[in-house]
Amino acid sequence: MKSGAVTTVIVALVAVILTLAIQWLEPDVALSPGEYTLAVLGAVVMVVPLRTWWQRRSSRSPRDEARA
Amino acid sequence: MTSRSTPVPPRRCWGLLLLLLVACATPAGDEVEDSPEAIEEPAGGGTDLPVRETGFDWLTRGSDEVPGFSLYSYFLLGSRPTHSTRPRYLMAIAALLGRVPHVEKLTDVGCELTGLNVTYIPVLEPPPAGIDERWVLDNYDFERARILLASFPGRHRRGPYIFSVESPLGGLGTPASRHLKQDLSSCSTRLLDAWITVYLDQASRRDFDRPDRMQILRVGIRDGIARAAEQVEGVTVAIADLTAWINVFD
Repeated sequence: MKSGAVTTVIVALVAVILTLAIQWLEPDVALSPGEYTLAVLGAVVMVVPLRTWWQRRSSRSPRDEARA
Repeated sequence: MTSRSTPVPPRRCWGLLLLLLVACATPAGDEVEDSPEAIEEPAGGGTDLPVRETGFDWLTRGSDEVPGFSLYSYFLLGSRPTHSTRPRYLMAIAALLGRVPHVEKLTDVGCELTGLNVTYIPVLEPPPAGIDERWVLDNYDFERARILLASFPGRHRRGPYIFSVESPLGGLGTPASRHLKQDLSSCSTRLLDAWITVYLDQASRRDFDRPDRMQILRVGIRDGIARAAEQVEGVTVAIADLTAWINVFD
């Protein structure tokens, strides 16, 4: 599976978790389209930097590790 | 010796996201104390068990509050409606009338006045049957509302506000010591029902002036997200417009 696809799946999962969390805060009020957009944006902001950092860390060679 | 590809932890992103959420959750009222929450004045001996139901009644010009209720609340508008505040006023009145029964309906089924919180709505004349929120706003007694608002610290030029006190406010500037304040002036209009639920829950408690911080935090965060989402929707529309505009020249 390509790295981009994995990132997309993780972003989607985090976005779903965020929408559930927003709904849990006030169950009587349905989510608006803007809130869904906000959840996706939040997931991107959370996941993409973490994923980039993780990929950089994983791709470092043992020599780079030794230098660090 | 340092590595050239030093990983940068995404702390800055987390911090920015947290800052955004906190900023959105903070209501943009006309002053800090006008947040949609209760004024905190600790009162001992409280319990979480509900002790009173809430009903509304009209406070017509020239008439006084009926004595005997255990809590007196006032639905107050700080100024006459403008083009921008009219929809909020109408929605708040509709939410209140939709959620709270007339006090007579509660007394008809056997509720004692001592077990009731009455929410007064100041109006110029007794309402006819079958009125709606438009009639209430058109006949709202803004002058009396200003006088009642003078009993509480702060300017209160916006609204709607709901203030609750243990005894009737009566005349001009009677200082109210223990009080509950619900400021609906800056919350998302989609969350008006939720904030009225917070008010009803709070007013039902014996220690009505002690805020339920968890409930307020929960609704406050949702309110912040809803208000941020409204802006996101606006930005999304603007981006779509801009894209369409650019495509015209392609």
